[in-house]
Amino acid sequence: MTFSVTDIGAVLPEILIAVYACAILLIEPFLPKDRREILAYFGLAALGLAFIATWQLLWADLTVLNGMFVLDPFGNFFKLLLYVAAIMTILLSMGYLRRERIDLGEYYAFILLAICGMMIMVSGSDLVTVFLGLELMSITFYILVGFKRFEEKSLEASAKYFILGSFSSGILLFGISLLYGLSGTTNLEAVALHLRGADPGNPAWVLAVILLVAGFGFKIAAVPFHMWAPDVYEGAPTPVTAFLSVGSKAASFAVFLRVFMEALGGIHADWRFLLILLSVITIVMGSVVALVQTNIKRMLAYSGIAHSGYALIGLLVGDRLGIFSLMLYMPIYAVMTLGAFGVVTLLRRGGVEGDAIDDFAGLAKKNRLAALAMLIFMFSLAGIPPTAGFIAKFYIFMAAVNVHLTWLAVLGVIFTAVSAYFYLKVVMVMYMKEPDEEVHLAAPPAVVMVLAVAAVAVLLLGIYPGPFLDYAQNAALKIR
Amino acid sequence: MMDHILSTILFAPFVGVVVLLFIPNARPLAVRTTASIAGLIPTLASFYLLYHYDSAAGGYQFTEQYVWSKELGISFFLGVDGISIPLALASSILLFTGVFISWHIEDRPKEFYIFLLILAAATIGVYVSLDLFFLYFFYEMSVLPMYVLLGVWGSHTKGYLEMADKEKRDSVGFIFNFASNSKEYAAMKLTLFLSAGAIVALIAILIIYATSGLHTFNLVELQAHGRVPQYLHGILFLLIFFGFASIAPIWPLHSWSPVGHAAAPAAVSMLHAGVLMKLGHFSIIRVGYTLFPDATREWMPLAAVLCVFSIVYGGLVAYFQRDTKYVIGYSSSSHMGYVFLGMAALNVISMTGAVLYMFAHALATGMLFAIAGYVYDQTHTRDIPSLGGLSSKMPFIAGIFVVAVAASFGLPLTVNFIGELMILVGSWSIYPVQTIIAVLGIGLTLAYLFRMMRGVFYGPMDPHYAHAQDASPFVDRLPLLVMAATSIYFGLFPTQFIHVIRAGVMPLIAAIQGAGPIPPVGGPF
Repeated sequence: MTFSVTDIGAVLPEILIAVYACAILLIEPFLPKDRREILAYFGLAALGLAFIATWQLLWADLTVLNGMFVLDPFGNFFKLLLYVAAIMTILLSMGYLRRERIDLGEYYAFILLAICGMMIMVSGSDLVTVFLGLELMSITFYILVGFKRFEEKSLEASAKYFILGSFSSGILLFGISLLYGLSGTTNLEAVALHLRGADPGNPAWVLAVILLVAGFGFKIAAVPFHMWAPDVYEGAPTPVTAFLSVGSKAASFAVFLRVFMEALGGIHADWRFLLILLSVITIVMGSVVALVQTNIKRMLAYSGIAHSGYALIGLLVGDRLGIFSLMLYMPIYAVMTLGAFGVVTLLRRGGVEGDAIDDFAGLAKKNRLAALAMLIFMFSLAGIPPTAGFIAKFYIFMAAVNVHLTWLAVLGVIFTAVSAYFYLKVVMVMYMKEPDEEVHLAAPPAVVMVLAVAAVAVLLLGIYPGPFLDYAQNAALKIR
Repeated sequence: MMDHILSTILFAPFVGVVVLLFIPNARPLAVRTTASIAGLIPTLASFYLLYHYDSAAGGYQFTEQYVWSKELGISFFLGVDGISIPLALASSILLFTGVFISWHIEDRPKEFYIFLLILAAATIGVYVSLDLFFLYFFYEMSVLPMYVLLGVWGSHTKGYLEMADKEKRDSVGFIFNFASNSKEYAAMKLTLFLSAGAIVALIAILIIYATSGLHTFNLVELQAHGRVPQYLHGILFLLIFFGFASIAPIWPLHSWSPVGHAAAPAAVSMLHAGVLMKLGHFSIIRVGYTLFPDATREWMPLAAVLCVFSIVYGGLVAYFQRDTKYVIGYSSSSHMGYVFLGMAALNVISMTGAVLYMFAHALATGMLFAIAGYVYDQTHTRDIPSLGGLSSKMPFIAGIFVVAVAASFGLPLTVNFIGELMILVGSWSIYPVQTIIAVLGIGLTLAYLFRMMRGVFYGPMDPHYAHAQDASPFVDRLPLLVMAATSIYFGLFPTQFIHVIRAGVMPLIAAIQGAGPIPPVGGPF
């Protein structure tokens, strides 16, 4: 074990975030109750600094800490995405926490710890590091989901997520241990090397792959490992739901991709079928069940499930175009989903938080800008140009057709059309139904900022994604 | 400026949208003026295109190309040929006149014009795109504004109040959970139909991309060097045909269209019938005919069969409607059958006629919908039996209506006559049976339009409508006069038009005929 300054430099963003998280916990008891909002700015500062640090290291490509940790453009791509998601989450949280009377300082520490876990995940080049990051992220999310601790729904969601989540971690760990038993190493590259000489028909390999798919499948909410998602999304505080559906999913996809491409890329043909199956049922289940939802958070949960199915297509295609299309999909999914949840945080019903689709009734009259932003997000989620959602789906389907999985693309586009129905229903309720109470819904400036940035990003990526495509493409080069 | 004339046509409405965003709703005059300027620029520029297109040289002209994603072979590639110029012109004219037709909309005029401009710009975008990606992009983009325009500014269709009763919802209405005659139903049905059609075409486009061996969406390159395997041609053509024909709308994929027409505000019906439906025919020609001439020859006889159903079915249903907008909506479906007939005959005369007829129909149906909307504004009903005798109250409107009816069934002097004649002359030798039925269909058109004219403008007048007023001098008359004058002008002097269209049609037909003779009549069809 040797440490060098380069090693420290490479993990600087993670260190920064962790130190700030600890600092928030330390400062919090000394702050008077009404001044705790300061901690949110602390969190924002941490993320801002980490963003700058990662930006400086953007094109670095080195493996540090004895091969446990890799700093590469691919990981940095996802880290930037995660910073943006976390910044938006904190901005959405500030007013929300105060209104729901859960404005405790440790909230921001947990957000930072969760993102720290995600960063370790996406940079792990060893199964142990990956698992470490994944657990750090999961455990903080168990707490965050139950943060509305006076509400049964939130506590139930937390317990459910905890029990199912630990179970899935166990499955993942079992898969990792099988892989270790077979190859004698947990390093991704070493596993790949070993696999080259091994007999891929060995049932233990198959079992290991299946267990890994189940473990990661849980995190990305792929059917049949999705059962937790709707309940947890519904029960968790809305900004946490947003962060969970965006950050956790993006980081899990990144690590899913890295493990399966780097370590198990050699037996791509073997696990491809499994993922095709997973992707098909995920798309079908997600889109069909979303049709009948009446709660916006549950609807967005099923929509997120369907989107995982589309993103899986990029992963299972596994060539450069496939990886690129997945990398494109994640940030686009992130901005539109964060934006949609941002609008949800504004909804009120009789003085309390509203989360039924009917609560959108007449939003166009109550808050014009929020309604317009929601319209953009819904059209984007439905994949209709000129929004970013169209670009994302287009590349996914193109990647599928490119490797002669035309039928899969056909299935995907059919369910895209199905999904248009439930997204447009929200638009219809906003614009075409009269509000039951004539009140103006005021949006805090922080939320307005998030919505504006997200809406502009969705339109910009939909109309002129060129520079962003180039960046994603260069970042995708590292992974084979 | 002249080097970027296509971008000007395409982006003027978008610039209008951006400007409108900064004008408050409290200043409706500024909003309307901005919208009309955003419509005027493309109209003038499209006329410029028509008169400066070099029909001797032919091919795609005024091209502009900007790399959008080099790695993936997508470029923002604009260009027009003889087929797209008339349609781009029709879009622009209908946008310009539509702005005036909707002058009296009081409910959030700014948002209305924003979506109207996006709709028109999207259709123009399809007509001028030479890159399949952008063609599809703009095609799908037209769905978004249609949905909002129908849902927010639309009106419920016939007998809405009875249908609001939950028991009477039809099966689809039940699933959608709103009555089948509500505007929400119309908006949702239209959107789902168009999206479903679009994705069928998208599959074909992606397969073309993957199998051509070029990794480009550039239509010109695909046409010249594409190597799509022969066995895929037929299936790809069918995917393109049915994907795009659902918007056209060919029988039996038409059911969304009359409902959509009836629910939409007048200007939206105009754009819907006038140009949105033509996106279907145009895209079939642009993608299907251009890339797969052999499959076109093989499969267009199928269209020749379906178009007869469109003509007869649409005409018969139109005859029995009580709602003025339903009459015009079904008549549009019926008339689109003529375009398919002209396209199916695959010779220069009939194809030229088909393109010309698309342009002509846009103007004629635009006038009809504008008048139906005007009458509705004045009387608050579209029920033909309860109307009547309005010609004494609104002589100008009645006069324009006569012109519109004459144009609709193709009276000489209107450009429709020339288009219709060329279609029938061209298809006579190929499909005599269908041609005879089509001629009988003209009689049907005459019957239902005269019935509507008599019911609305002549006969005894209900005293309820004594307050109805004729069109105001400028704002209401200008759009109708523009459409009527254009229709008559090109009916008198169609030469330039026909030259331009022929230049676009000839190479297509040559490629199709070069692929072998058209299957003999009396074969499978």
